[in-house]
Amino acid sequence: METFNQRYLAFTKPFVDSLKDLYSTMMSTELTQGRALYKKQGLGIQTDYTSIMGITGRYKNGDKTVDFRGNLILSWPMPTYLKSAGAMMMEEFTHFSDDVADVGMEVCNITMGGAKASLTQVGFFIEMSIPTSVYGNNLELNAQASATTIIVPMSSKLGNFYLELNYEEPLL
Amino acid sequence: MAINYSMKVLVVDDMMTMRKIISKNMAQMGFTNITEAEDGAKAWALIAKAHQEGDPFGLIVSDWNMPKMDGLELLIKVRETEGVKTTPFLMVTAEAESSNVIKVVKAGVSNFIVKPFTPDTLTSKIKKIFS
Repeated sequence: METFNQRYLAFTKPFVDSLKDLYSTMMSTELTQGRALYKKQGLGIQTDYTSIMGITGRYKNGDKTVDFRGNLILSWPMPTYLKSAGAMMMEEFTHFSDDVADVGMEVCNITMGGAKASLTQVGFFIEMSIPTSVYGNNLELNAQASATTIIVPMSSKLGNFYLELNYEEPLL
Repeated sequence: MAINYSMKVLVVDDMMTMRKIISKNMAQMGFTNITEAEDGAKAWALIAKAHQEGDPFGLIVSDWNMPKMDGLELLIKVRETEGVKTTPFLMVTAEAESSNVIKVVKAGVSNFIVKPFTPDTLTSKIKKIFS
């Protein structure tokens, strides 16, 4: 029987790989991932822009099919976000506007799509949804009390940001 | 078949970011008549109107995962409608599973591109449609 951690890390890696692929392909930027951490309640991260995409799906655990729900969350400080948007759209952006408002949602969408394909091969079947976003100065994003959250710091020449995955019950 | 770069092109995506990226790349390829729509329903209205006016689109480049009418529904509608059913249709999607490829091929897609992609990939997919 796999442990929770092994299954959780197996689930997280395709999202990280997919995000790296996106930055490399569409922004000519190599991402370096930091050490993945469990995020506890009360330990929020600071963000200026966050995109969120719901995850619903199922996986096989022995003879049982288990449904699960969660979220893919990407959070950027504004300077990193604007540089990422500029690299992706081949323009320079100095401030937040409608022109860059859905870049983070598209990054979330593509990351989910790439991860979905990889996860299908290892027995996780997830459904795509429509991403949403929030932005503002120095927002604090806290862990959901009912969810388990893993956070992966990402760094690059464009700046640092975070990838998070959280699960509501039932957990893997 | 040589590409007519002045043909009407319709780019459909609910994300402005991706519409702009595709439109910009296509303009750099030489396309001069690009229209954008933010979902399948608005795209279909534009396709029907252009057909009625006798000035149809020569190429549709559409995202798959969209609200209201998604890219697959739009593709099926186009392929079922006399007058526009042979319009070249390039599907853009973030989902790469083989089951999805089979779905759009069965529905009559002209070509298929998986995000993320480079400008070179977009160019080669479009050229292949008209080769």
